Amino acid sequence: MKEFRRETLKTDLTTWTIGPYHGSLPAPIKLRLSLDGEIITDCDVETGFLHRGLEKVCELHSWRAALAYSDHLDPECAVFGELVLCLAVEEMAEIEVPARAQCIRIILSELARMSGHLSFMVRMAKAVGSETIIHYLLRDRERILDLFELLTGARFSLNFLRFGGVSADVTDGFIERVLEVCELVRIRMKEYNDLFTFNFGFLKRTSAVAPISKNLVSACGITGPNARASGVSFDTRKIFPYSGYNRLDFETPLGQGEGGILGDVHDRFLIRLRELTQSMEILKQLLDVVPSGEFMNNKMSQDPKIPPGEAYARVESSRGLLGCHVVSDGGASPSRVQFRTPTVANLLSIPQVVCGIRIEDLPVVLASLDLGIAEADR
Amino acid sequence: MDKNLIVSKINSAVEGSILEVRRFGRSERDSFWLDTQSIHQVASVLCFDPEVSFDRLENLSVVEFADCLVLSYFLLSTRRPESEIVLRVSVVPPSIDAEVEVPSIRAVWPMAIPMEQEAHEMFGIRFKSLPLERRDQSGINFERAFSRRLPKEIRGYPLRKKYVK
Repeated sequence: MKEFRRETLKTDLTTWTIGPYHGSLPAPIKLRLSLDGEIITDCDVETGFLHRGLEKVCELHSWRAALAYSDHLDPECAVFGELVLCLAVEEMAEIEVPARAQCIRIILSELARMSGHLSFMVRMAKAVGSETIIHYLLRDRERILDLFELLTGARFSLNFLRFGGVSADVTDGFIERVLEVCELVRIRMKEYNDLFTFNFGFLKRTSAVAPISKNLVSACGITGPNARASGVSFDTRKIFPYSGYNRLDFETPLGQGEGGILGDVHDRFLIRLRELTQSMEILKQLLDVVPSGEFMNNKMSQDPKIPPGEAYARVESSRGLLGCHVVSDGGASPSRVQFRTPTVANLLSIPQVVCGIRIEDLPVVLASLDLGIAEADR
Repeated sequence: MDKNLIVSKINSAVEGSILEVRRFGRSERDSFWLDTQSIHQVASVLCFDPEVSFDRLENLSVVEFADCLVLSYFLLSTRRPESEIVLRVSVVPPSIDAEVEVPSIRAVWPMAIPMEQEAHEMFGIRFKSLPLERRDQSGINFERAFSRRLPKEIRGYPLRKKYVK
């Protein structure tokens, strides 16, 4: 019998350019990769392909229209763009927000966070090639979008928040439906754990792959679940509470290195799974004590007059710290609206995170960074 | 954090660099208006001095007030998460399509790289770069990620008030 001889594949360094539009990329970005065989040795990242001039558009329209445009900052979790602009303008113009409106805002925020994390899991499932799980996840996310539709009439661009409150009160049966969805997602957690957390194939693809160190978190300014997965405890809801988060009792989950290395792809996945549970707990606390009263500050007009001044507000979006610097010259439109988005830091970390991984792991690593390119390019 | 401590740290970096200290808008946070050329030295002290340790640049925002470009650096501290301050400097461009130069702070806070790139493209602020100072990041090249928001044929700086297509 002829003896089997393993042949060694000898390759030189090669350069690949992927993007801006490619099936393995979660968003329009361009990567220039240097490869040594299958190992990525160097990476350049180019972004900006989804630039829409959003900040300029806000300057060219009325305050009310700017609020509607801020929806488009991150179409996946539209409410955070609206909320951060509202908070900044309300601080600047000293507008009071009724307790009931604040409660509705938190309900929407946490539902958007759950929806965003489920979308993240869809991208992870796509990256590891688990087509079936995608349908399960989208099925549950649909239930959250149904809730948005019930309350606001829209599923993605909600355009629901207003300076001084929200545009409508909760509809009949909304609170019961939210509780139903929370219960459904709680039951589904076992399914998610079976399909992801304890799945041998998923563990092999994610454990000890592309860890983000605390140093890199600090250097790049990474926030949100990606930072918490690396053990950095920073949650805007806890440190700079807004809209009544200080009255709620919730824990900030941190990565524990179950995959082998702290802050690896598996930790970034697990932290979002835990935050789903955290959001459900927050919602259950809130729904027990929805305050009665007005949903909108009665003194506010449809097109409010905003006095000259400036303000900076921040919220914890599903991807991290979202900031907004607003300047008014007393005119009918904003003088400046500037957004600080969490994805920019995640993009900055890509060259460091992907160096040393195998090319086959690239889609999984990029999906695990949860890139919201719409908010980064603006 | 005590305002006087921050003032003394800034003065230890560059004596007399503080032009004004005032509250930022209607919030409780303090803003420090600085001499533009001193921003890098001040940033270095505020980041690396353990007594203040503002090691996170949360945001860099540029606003145009009456032909003057104002840069606001929003700083946070990992050690004291509730501490926040704003550093502010200003420059006046000589004409509507002329660039202006400001010392870069990317050597202190690498997260400033995409923010400075955006400020350059949108407002025409050129940041004079310096070697990386961050002591625990040796060997990491943060310049490998870059953004290009505008098509090459676009001239001028779109976020300036007097920008004409």
